[in-house]
Amino acid sequence: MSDQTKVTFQLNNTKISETAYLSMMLADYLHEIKGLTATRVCCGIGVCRACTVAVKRAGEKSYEATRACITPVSSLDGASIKTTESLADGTKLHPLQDSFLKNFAFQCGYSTSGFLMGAYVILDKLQKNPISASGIDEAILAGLGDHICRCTGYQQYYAAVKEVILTTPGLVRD
Amino acid sequence: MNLMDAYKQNRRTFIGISSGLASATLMVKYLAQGDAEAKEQTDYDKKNQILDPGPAWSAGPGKARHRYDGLAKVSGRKIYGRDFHAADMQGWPTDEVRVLVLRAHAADRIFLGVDVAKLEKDLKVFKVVTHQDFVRDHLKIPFYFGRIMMAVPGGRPDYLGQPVALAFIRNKDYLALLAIEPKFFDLSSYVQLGSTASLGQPTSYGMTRLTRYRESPTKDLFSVAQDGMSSPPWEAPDPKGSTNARCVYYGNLIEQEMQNQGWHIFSESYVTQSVDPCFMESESGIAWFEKKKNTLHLTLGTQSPYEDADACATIFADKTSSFRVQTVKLNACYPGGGFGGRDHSDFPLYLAIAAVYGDGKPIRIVYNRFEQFQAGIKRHPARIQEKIAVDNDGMIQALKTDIQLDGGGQNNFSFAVQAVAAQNATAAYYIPRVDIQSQALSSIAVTAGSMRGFGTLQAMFALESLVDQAAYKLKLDPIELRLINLLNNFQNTTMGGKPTYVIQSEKVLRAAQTSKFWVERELSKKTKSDSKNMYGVGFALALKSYGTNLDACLAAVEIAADGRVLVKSNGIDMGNGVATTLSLAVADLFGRNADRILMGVTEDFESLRLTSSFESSQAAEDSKAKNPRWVPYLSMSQAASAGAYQMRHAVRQAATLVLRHGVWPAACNLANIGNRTFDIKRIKWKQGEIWIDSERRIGWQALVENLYKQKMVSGAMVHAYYRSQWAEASFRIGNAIETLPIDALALRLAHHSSYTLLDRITVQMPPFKNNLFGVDMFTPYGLLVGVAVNKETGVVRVDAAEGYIDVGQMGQLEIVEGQAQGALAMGIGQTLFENLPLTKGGPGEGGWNFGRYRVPLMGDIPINRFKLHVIEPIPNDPPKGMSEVVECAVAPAIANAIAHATGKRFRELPISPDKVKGALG
Repeated sequence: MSDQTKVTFQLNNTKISETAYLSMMLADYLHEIKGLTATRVCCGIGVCRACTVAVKRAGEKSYEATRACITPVSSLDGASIKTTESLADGTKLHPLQDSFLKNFAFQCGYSTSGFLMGAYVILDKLQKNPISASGIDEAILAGLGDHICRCTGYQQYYAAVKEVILTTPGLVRD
Repeated sequence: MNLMDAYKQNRRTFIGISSGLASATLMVKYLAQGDAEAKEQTDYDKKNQILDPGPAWSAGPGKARHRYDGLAKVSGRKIYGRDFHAADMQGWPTDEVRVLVLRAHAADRIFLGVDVAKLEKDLKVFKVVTHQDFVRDHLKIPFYFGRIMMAVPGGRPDYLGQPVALAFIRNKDYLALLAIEPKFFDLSSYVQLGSTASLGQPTSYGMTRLTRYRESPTKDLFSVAQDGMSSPPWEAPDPKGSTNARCVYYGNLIEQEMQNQGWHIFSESYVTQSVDPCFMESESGIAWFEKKKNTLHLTLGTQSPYEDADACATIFADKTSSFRVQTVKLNACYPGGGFGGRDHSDFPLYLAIAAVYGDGKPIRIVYNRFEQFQAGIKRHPARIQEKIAVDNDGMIQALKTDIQLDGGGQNNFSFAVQAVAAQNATAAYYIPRVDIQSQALSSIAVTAGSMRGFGTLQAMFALESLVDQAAYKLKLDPIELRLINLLNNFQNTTMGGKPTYVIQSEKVLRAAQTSKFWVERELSKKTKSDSKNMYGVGFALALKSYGTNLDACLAAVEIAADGRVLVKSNGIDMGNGVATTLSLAVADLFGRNADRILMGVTEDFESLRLTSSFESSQAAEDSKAKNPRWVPYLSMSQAASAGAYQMRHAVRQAATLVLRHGVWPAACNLANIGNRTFDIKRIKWKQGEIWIDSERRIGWQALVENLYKQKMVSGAMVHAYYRSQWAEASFRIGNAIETLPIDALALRLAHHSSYTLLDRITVQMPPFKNNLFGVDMFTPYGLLVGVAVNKETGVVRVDAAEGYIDVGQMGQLEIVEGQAQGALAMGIGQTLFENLPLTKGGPGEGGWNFGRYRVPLMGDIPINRFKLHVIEPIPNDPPKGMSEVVECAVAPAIANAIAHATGKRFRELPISPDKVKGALG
């Protein structure tokens, strides 16, 4: 069996066709091949979630929070991948980025991309399935509860994400 | 180094030694800034290049809308050491070589060598560098970093995780390996170990004895400040003998009085564990030895850029060295966390060594998390014997403490950590009789060094737990007992000196004591306990020094012709917000925040042409100080919560000089007022305009235009040195002589690109004896914690918390809150579940990662149930460092809350579920 495979995917809205090694992980691909380092690598074993990116797999309608350090590129044929580099619309920051800034959500910032993309997936899910206001805490904990940050104590991350959920139309049912 | 030498060492000694060896030029630049060596980034977001903070960061003078470095971080830009390849660097060759560090996974067996053939076959390694190369090429080991840089074949490795070899892989081979074998998790099979070998006796990395016996609250019969340091060998007790003999005499007297005075004696043993700082970006970097120019280039995240560059230069300083390194250029990146763990790490040294063996190619080392656990600096585990005597009035009359720290395989900062543990061992209290002994010993464990709390966390866990226990036993309100014993500003510290600034511990305690959280603690216990959980509320008061009392800060403030204000500092923002803090520090002087700040700068400060050396007496310092270029200590690490006060001081001194000799005369010109005598009280800034004497208003741009037209001072560069007081020097500026709390100065006139160095006319360095005062500036922090203890599982959950802090004049509330929140989380991990075995099964053997080492997650934290209360500062009190103290209170507060809930006191960290279950039966 060959150790290479052909894959085609969208990376930050750009179509890419690659002959990918079966074992190369998305995080290594982004860093070493594409020079995109916003997806931070910390534990390398899929525990800390610093490398979280948003992936919409072929045939799926929603993005899933995906750990780039344990996701082979070869498994992403037909997928749409979104990393922090593409969150902003030109110079206009994504509301999550704005809120992270405004709430002083991060300190060293190394876990920030993972939180941003994890939160992006939360918003994506809520757009399709709005929740009641009483369910926001649970949604944040479900989406970001496994992310490790060593600086912040999570409180300002939590506040920033909650603020975006509450202020984005259509995410919370009356 | 023998025990006596270790005892006499302090931070300056080490720097002095290494500086003396290195004759290379050290050039340190902060990467992620436009004028560093980094090429302009070409991927996303060309605007707001790297650390332009963006147009929205400032919220008006003295306030930030977001962190200065926020936009770069939230946009995912390349700012960390791990982000950079050689191809990103201007002027570097692009063909990069990957270097792996092979390590000893056992330290009780003979190291035979590395399996080079297997490395070549499996990993395409084309070169291996070992101890033999190090010796053959006459490389030297900087003092901090032990006896050998790599284990010696035929001998026993000094410690677990000690490097044994560097393995070089061409980048194309490395990328191919990534595709086949994505992670180099376990390199131990390439390290050949033989028979078991006996371990040597531990050696001392440093020891301290602080004995003080009071005559009155403001006067001591014996203290370090008054009588000098005491050190072994101990002599027979004699009240009129040598310092040692008197120290022993008063130590014995304290022990006798504790036994004979009828005081209540509380004596317990405490154990704290080894933990990892777990900064999220593992140590990573690139380096290139440019042989043609004898220049070593390094790019990495560090807390100690100058000292790292200095240490790297030291490696090649021997005249017979095969490598001639004349210049070290260090590009300091924004670190992805630090917490002390990047202060004097040995990582930069291996980066430097690998670079010179790179055959002209840049090399890259990136630790994975397994390697970071195996190699990275840890917190010192401690065994503490604590005894206090409390009289019937609740006064703590005496304290005896013995602190034993395990420093692991290299001294690193053990000599200082044990000393700071001793100096802070009395916490927030004035205790008339203290006899504190502290020592750090070597072991084969992974090296322990600087970590947030720096020995104080361990000492404070012991004392704050025991004080709480005493209060319950004596049926006193625990906060009331603390109030009775507070250190005030007129009393002597443990060392016998006086605190420099007012310590508002009383306000902290009163606020906590009157809070609903505390007042209703018994009600909470009753109402929140149920069939599953026992609920309790605990309190602890921490007092932690900020700064090292040997603080050397460099700063420059410049006004550009277009009006932008630029600040440069030798500080590093590792997430603690110091870039933002220092940008705001000029606001009241210029009516605006700095537009740009460069951190980790050293190269620019070469304009001051400073030299430093460690001197061991007042006479020697006086002699050296005649040289206007000499300062006792050149540049400190980003450490000891020194950003808020010490580094800010240097920035403000520079800014004040630009105000006085640039902005003020420009304002006088424009306002047509003849009197040019500078008086800061005549100045007010409102909406970007300067008001003089409450009437004449001039806008900033007009001021700057006039400043440039008149060719006045547009930039000032200073060096400031603190040792219980700031060094003061006088300078001739224009026709006047000014005395300032700095010891070196250069000024830049408008339209000039370079600085003019001003020789100091006189200098008053802080007296040498101030070394004996130890730390002298303190921040108090009180923490209330509510916990729920699961009776069945033994799991402790922190349910709510309230903190009370005096930070003096506050910079930015959100940054202060963030530090306290982060410290609560880190403290919860330290208290309840983080734990690293020191030897067998520990991280030095490899195999540790976040799958095995649990750190607090969002669900472990009382989100929305932690409130920080900032105490009203005393007017004109400066800002106080606080990032360390906020962690020191967490463990005892939780332990005391568990005691309130369960009636059981836990004296060994972590307070894990099995221990709780065991105690509850």
